Order: sequence, then structure tokens, then C-alpha cells
Amino acid sequence: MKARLREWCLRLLGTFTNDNGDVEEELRFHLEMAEEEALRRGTPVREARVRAGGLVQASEAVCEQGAIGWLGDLFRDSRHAARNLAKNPLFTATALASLALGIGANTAIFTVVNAAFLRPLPYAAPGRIVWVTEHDAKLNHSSVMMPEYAAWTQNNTTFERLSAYQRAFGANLVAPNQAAERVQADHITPDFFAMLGVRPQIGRDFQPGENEPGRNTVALISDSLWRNYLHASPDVLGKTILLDGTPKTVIGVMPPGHIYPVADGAEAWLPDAVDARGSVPSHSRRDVSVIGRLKPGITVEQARANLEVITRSMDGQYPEPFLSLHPALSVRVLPLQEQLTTGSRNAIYVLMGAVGCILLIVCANVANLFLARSLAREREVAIRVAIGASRFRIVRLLLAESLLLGAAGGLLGILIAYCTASALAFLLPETIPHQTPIDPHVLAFAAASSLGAGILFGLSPSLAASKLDLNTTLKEGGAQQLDRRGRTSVRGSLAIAQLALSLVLLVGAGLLMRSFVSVLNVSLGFDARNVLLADIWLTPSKVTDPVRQIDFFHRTLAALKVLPGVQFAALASEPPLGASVTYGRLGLRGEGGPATQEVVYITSVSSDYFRALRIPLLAGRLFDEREQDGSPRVAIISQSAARILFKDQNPVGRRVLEPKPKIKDGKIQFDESNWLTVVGVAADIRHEGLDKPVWPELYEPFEQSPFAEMNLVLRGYSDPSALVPAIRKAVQEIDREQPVFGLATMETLLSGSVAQRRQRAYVLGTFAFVSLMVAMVGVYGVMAYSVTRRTHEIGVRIALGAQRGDVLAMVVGEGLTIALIGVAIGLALSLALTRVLASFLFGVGPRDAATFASVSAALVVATCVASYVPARRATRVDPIRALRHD
Amino acid sequence: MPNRDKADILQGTLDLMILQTVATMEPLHGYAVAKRLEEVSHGAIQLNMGTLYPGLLRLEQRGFIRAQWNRTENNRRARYYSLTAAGRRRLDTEKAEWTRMASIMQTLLFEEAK
Repeated sequence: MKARLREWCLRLLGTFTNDNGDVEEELRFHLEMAEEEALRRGTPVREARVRAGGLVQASEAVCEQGAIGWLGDLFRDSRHAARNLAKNPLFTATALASLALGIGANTAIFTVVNAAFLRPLPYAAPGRIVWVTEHDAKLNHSSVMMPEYAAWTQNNTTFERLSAYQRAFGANLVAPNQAAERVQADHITPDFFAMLGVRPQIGRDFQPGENEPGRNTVALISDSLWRNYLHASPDVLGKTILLDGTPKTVIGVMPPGHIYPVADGAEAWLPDAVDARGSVPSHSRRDVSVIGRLKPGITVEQARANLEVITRSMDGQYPEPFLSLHPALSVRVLPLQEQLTTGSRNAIYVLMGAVGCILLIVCANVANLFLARSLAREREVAIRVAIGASRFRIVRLLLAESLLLGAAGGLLGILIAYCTASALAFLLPETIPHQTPIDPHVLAFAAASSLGAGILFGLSPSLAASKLDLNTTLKEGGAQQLDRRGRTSVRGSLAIAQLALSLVLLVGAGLLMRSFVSVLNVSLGFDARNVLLADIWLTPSKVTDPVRQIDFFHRTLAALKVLPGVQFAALASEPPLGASVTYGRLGLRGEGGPATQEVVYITSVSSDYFRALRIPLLAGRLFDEREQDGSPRVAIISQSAARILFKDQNPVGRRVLEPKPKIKDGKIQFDESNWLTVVGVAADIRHEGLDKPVWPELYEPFEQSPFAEMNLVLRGYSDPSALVPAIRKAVQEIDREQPVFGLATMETLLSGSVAQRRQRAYVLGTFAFVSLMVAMVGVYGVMAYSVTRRTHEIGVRIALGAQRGDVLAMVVGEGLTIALIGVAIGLALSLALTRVLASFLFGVGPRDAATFASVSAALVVATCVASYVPARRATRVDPIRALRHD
Repeated sequence: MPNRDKADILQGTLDLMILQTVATMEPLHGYAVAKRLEEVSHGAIQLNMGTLYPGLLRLEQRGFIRAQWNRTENNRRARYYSLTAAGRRRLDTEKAEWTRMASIMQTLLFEEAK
């Protein structure tokens, strides 16, 4: 078979090297020899020639053996196409630029799709890793009950490993000879990393049984903690670090890169998410999340059915209130990748749809260009047909041009994607690697879209050209026809399609922009300028009683107040825009009234909090020195809380129930200490950010309701970020082992909270703008073509007395017709499609009339402008020359 | 399509005939191959150029023969073909295969019938 392969390779090579000189010489030699011999023998020369066969036929037969026929045709067609394209540089450049843009945008967004949904996660055999949870359809809430997790791990038959992790609040880290640091330390089951197939780069992984009390004094650390905090020292193994005051021995350093499928990562891991008895240790009340590795060959559905049986067997084994809830729980098993990317799915699909629209618009545009040019080539095609080219051959020839153009556009598009893809990585969820490489999937996608685009924009012009009526075209002798209805209507409908698609994109972008603007115009209720936040979490093992907590924070406040540049220094358990909030689900209740259903946010604050954030006081007084541990308990409520509880009555002096019950004998109970006297009413604020609702607030004096974690809220006279070093120093002087973390200005947090919204609006806005430009070029092309086509007609009209204004109105009116039909179709499409944007909108509905109207108007105006230039040209038609024009 | 079938059967045989001719008389040009085959077959096999030269090219592409431009005794340029090592091996196997096949056909067509 080697010989056959050799033959094919040589034929392939021969396809692209056309050298027939040798063959002809050899054949001619053969003929001459035959003739000479016939002469020598005295036989007829003609007979010898006939026996030797025709030179041309033989030469063709040799060529056929020397090359691969169809490939050779293709090659010739492409060369012909390339020459044709090179002859029209402006046409080619326009088509190429728009194709590169369209394919580039698609490929760039596809790198994101690829990274999110197609590229395997960087774990061993990632297809077998699944996310497991229990879903409560009534509350629409998913979590895993601990006894369930224990039963699953013991009784399942479908998992190789069923591991769990538990998000922790973070811990204060103290290592020898280092400043204290706050780190995210998560609790995992000992087999967690083994389940993922990730091994420590140095040291060892957790061993089974290291979750038992007494043995759980070990920790794994992340590569970044090792490098940045422990100077990448290899003798870190076996060293003891203090995490929240508890000594832990470092046994291993995990490798760099994306090794932990949890948002915000972690810098240290402890092996006791679940202790040896299968219950949650007391250090955290948070839920565990379960990730497992299926046995080979087990499907997600088999695993789900398996765990469901175990869960059902536990109905009725729980005390109230879980007893009645439990039967409503159903097991969910999802491929891990699906779970990690669910949140980003919509946004990515919307963008994919948007760039798909752009590509369609671009295709319509290039098809238009081709149609316009096919006018100029009608005679060439007619002659080809006349000398016997088949219709297939003509289509193939013209299609070769569009495919070549598509391929070139694809190459440029890949280049564009290569340059822009990394900037789009922000669209990816944090839980997967933030890499958008150009891999074979992406290349295949780019190739497919180039090919698809080439066929899409090439086929209809090619077919139209091949249907050419030979007689008329040749007889015309190149004369302009008055109008060829068919082609004009194809071009018109291409322009209409462009406008319609463009309108959809513009409406989408308009809605996102308006949402973004509405978000920015929202009043926060406090003044975020010149405010700095910093977080302090007291080490639980060191500072246990409230008195010491209050003392520490009072000393810190006193030190910060005297720093130059600080106007006010205050404390808040959970300030606005912070990472977490504490809220009472049990509702707000005023004295003498019923419990309401409203969720209320509860914040412990120091006396200067309202001044630091400039939250206006509407009635009563602020907290002051009267509020001490043990003095009568008081509260300040927000305006909306006051309205809910006391309607129009003055709330000052009334009492409200603090929704922090004590649980006695399994019952929820409040006592006298839960009743707080309202001393003031503050203005409403948006606690969670601009695009979040206003919740009722309940403020308590920090001294009466202290927490181990308090945030410093500092108002500076100017930009407070300069205060950072001074703040760190002040806290260190009070306690060297106390880290300060999360230092950020409120303006930074604010801009971060709208970053995603802004980016989405900008990305879709850019796409919409590009689509508008391309569509306008399309409209301009159609109108210019139409004017050229109708030069004769326009000349007649002018000769018969039509005014310039009439001609102008006629051409612009034609553009207007296209615009109105396009807008009508686009509006119908938009009405159907903008629903998918609903979850991204703020302050506008998905069918916001103002957006729809203004975008439509803009598109109509833009279309009129685009047709104005050809219209002006039409008015300048010289009737005498136009009438002679044939 | 009787012609097509004939051509298909002939191609393998033709390759073998050309190969054998080149082996016995190398180096020789294409015309000499045609003449030799005509003589050996007493005029029964008359190859026209459209059959001969694609065949030669095919064998060349498969690496069984090689070609070189050279001068004839009359000082004219001609393309001379000679066998390669691979061509010689190929010829041996083809010959063996031919003998085997011929004996099978002989048995099948004439001796079985008796």
C-alpha cells in the first residue's frame, strides 16, 4: 500500500504544479518514431498515426493520471476567483473587512462559550464529577442535610467518592515572624482533592481519618499563600501556623492554577467539613456542598435514582420542623461543569445570539455587494454559458469566490478573536478557569462559520447569475436595463433583513444601557464618596466575651479618630455594599402590633455611623454615650420600617421586637430583652447596592449588641485610600496578631457592584453599533445600486419636468419604505426576543415603549441619511447624457 | 459496461506487461515498450499512447520504475525508463501471483470439467 500512497501524494502534488512540456515532448517523440518506422517499412504513415492515437487525448490521459481531477478544478476555480477578487480591491476590502468583523466577533464570543461549556474542567476525568444537592421545590432552595450526606456516603453504589466542602467565613492566620493575615480557609472532607484528582505539589494530601477530633490538626495551603506569605519556602512542611488561634500543621502545598471549583477560591483547607461521626462540627453552622465522582459507566440519572432511594428511606426520621419538610426534598445530580456555569449561561447565550445577528447582517451585506457586482459580470457569465459552461460550473465558479472570501475573512476573524478573546474572559464564572484559548474547537467553529457564511452570501447571487437569460444579456450589448425586478427585490429584502436584525440588537443594547443609567441614577440614601471600609474579625479563641470585644473596638476607634485626614470613624457589623448582611426572616414586629412578613436587616453600629455615611436622621436622636452594655436597649429604625410598623404615628419612644429569638425546649421564644425602644428614625438606604431594593433596617448600638466581626467605616476629608497604611499600623499597635482586611473605598465597591452590568451594556452596545454601521453601508449600497440602475428612468423624469425635490423624495422615499418594513419586522422580532434580557434589566421593562420608539426612530433617520447621498446623486443626473446612456 | 470491465482487468495485466518489458530491456523509451509488446504478441497487443503513457506514469508514481531524459543513438532526446529495486520486488511477486492464478484458472476451466 506504500506504493499507492506514493502515487496519491505525487498526484496531489501534480495537481498544483502544471508542467506539461515534458509530456508533450515525450508523446511527440513517440509519434515521430512511429512515423519513421512506417516510412522505413513502407506501410502507410496515417495508419501508424492512428494506431499511436491522438496526441491531445494522450496528453490529457497522462495529465489525468498526473493530477487529481476535481481538486485541480477546485484549485483552478480558486485561482480564478483570487484573480477576480484582486481585480476589485475596494469591493474585496469592503467585503473582507465586514466578514472579518462578523466572523471575528462570533469566534471571540465562541471562545467564551467553549471555555464555559465545552472545555473540560482541569480535573482528572472531569466528565464523571457531579454536583449533588437536595432541592426543596416549595422554598426553591437547595442544600444538603447532614444526616443525608452520611447515609449517602455509606450506602450508595454509584459513586467512587462522595466528598463535601464547607465555605467558612475565613480565619485569622498567624505564622512565625509574619504580620497577621486574614485568609479564606475552607473545610473539606479528607478525600476532596483525591476525588477531583488534584495532588499537592509538595507534601501530602489528607489521609482518611484526619477528620477525627485529635487528628484534624493538619492543613493544606494554596500555592499563592505559600508564595506570597511564606516566601515559597520548601521547609514549610511540618511547620505550625495559627488559624483563628488554633495550631495547624502544614502537610502540603496545592499546585497553582484552578484547582478548587468554588468562587473566591481558598488559601487553606482543613480536613473536617464533616467529622468522623458524619455530622457537622460545631465550628460552623453553614451548609456543606457535595461533589462526587461517579463510578465509570454510571449515568447522572442512575446516580440520582440511587441517592433518591436513600433519601426517601429517611423520611420520617427527623424531628419537627424538618419532619414535614423532608418528603418535599428531591435529590439533584448535575454534571459539575453544568452547575458551575449555570449562572453565566444566559448572558453568554444572549451575546452569542447578538454576534450571530451581526454575522447574518454581514452576510446580507456581502451578498448585496456580490449582487451589485454580478451586474458587471453578466456578460462574462453569458459568454461562458454560450461556449458551453454548465449551470453547475457557473455556480461553482462564482461560489469559489465567495468561499475564498469567506476563508480569508475567517483567517482575519481568528486573528481578531485571538486579540480580543482574553478581554472577554470576564464573562466566565469565577468557578472555572478564566482562560479563553483558541483551541481546535474554536478553530473548527471559525472554519464552519466561514464556510457557512461563504455559502450563505455566495449562493443566492451565484444562482441568480446562473439563471441569466442568455439571449437578452448578449443582445443588450451591455446596455443598462431599466429595471430587473427580481434582483432589486432580492437586494431590497436583504437590506430589510439587515435593518430588522440591527433593530433587535439596538433594542437589546438600548434596554441594557437604560438599565445601567437607571442604576446609576438610583439614590443610595448615603454618601459613598470619601468613605473607606475595613474589616476586622477578632480571633475567636483570643477574644471571647463581649466586654473584651467592645473594649478592643473602642480602643481601635479612639486610635483612628485622631488620625489626620479622618473626619468620622465608626463601626458597623455589616455596612452597605459589604460582603454579607444579617437579616431577620421572622419579620418585624412593633409593640401591640402583629408580626409582619417583611425581611428586616439588622446592623450593629457605633454612634458616629450615621454621620460617617451621611445618612439623614429624620426624627429622634442618634446613639450616644448613654448606650452601654446593660443600659436599656434602644434602636434606630429606618423610615420604611417605621412606616410598616407605626404607619403615620411617631415611632420615637415606641418599642420594636428584635428578631433574634432564643430557642428553648425546641421552641422559638422571645423575652423582655428582645424589646428595643426606638430612639430615632433614619432615612432609607440601599444596603446591598444600587440595583437592589430598599429593605427595612433596624440599627442597634454596637455596645448592646457586639459582634466578633466589625467593619470600620471611615469618612476622610478627601480620598481615603491614602489612610490604608495608617489604619493597619493603628490596629497592629493594639494587637500585633490582629489582621485588618477587605480595605476598599466605597466608591470602588460601588463601581464593582455595577461592573458586570456596565460591561454587558458596553459589549452589547458595541455589537449593536457595529451592526448599525454595517446595515447602513448595506442600505447605502442598495440605494446607490438602484440609482445607477435607474439613471435612464430618472433622466426621463427630469426631462419631462420632474423637480430635483421630486427626485430626492422618490429615492429617499424608497429608502424610507425599506426602513419602515425593516423596523416593523425588527420590532416584531424584538418583542418576541427581549424577554431573554428580563433578568438583566433594571428600571425598564423588556418591552419598554420609550426604548423601542427611540431606537426605531433612530434607525429610520439613519436609513434616510444613508439613502440621502445616492438621492443627491440622482438629482444631479444630466437628462441629456442619461438619455444617450446606452 | 463491457468496455469498462475490460479496461479494469487489463490495467493490472498492462502494468505487469510494462514492468516485465522494462525489466528485460532497460533502459528503454516508451515507444520501444509499445514496439516490444507488439512484437512479442505478434501484433495482438497494440498500445496507443493514451494507454501506454498514463500506465508508465502510474508505475513511476508508485516508485516501480524511474525515468530519465537521455540521447538516442540518433542523438534525439527521449525519456528512458528503468526498473527500481521496488519495481523488481514487485515484478517477482506479480509473477508468482500470475503463475498461481493461471494454475487455478487452468484447473477451474479445463481440468475440473473432465
